[in-house]
Amino acid sequence: MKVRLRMFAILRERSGVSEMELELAEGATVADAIEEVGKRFASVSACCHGLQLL
Amino acid sequence: MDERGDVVELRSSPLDVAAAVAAVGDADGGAIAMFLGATRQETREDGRKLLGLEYEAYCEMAEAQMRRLAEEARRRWPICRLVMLHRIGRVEVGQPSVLIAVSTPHRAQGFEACRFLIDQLKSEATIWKKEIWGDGSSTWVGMVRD
Repeated sequence: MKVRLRMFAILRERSGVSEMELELAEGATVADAIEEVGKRFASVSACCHGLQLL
Repeated sequence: MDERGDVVELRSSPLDVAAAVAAVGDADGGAIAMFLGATRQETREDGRKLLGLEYEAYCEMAEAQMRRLAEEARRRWPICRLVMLHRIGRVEVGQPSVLIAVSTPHRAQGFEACRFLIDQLKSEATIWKKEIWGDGSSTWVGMVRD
């Protein structure tokens, strides 16, 4: 499935993008999406680690 | 502004206190209570001075959260009119970043409603702030909490 992801604050600054699209497996969770972002942007993976899920 | 006259918005321009007071004026409002949060000056141990704060928000979500809080406050207290504004962009030291004003029949209701709204806004809204320091450095503070 396609997921539209918006990045704000430190994540936007470190990744250099404010919006992106992810292709994830059906049934993927928010944690999967965050892990994928961490893989794509080494600069944000440290922040992704402690990210609060609302 | 909604049908009851509530103003709940993010603003990229300076907050107008007099306009907010005028907006909550109501014949049934015996009390007008306001909370203003401003950028506080700060000096770090290494001598860096804070110049200002830069606010960034997921605007659609933050405004929806603010409207939900306004609804919740209206369920709890007999609010006549309500204004809830939060700045985005750069806010210099001494300048207001958040303004909450309510008119209610009696003062205790107004104080309580303002306290509730600012506490919830700070802990829930998708608004982030960055400290801008005099030496050119900056620090993201994360979710607005303090």
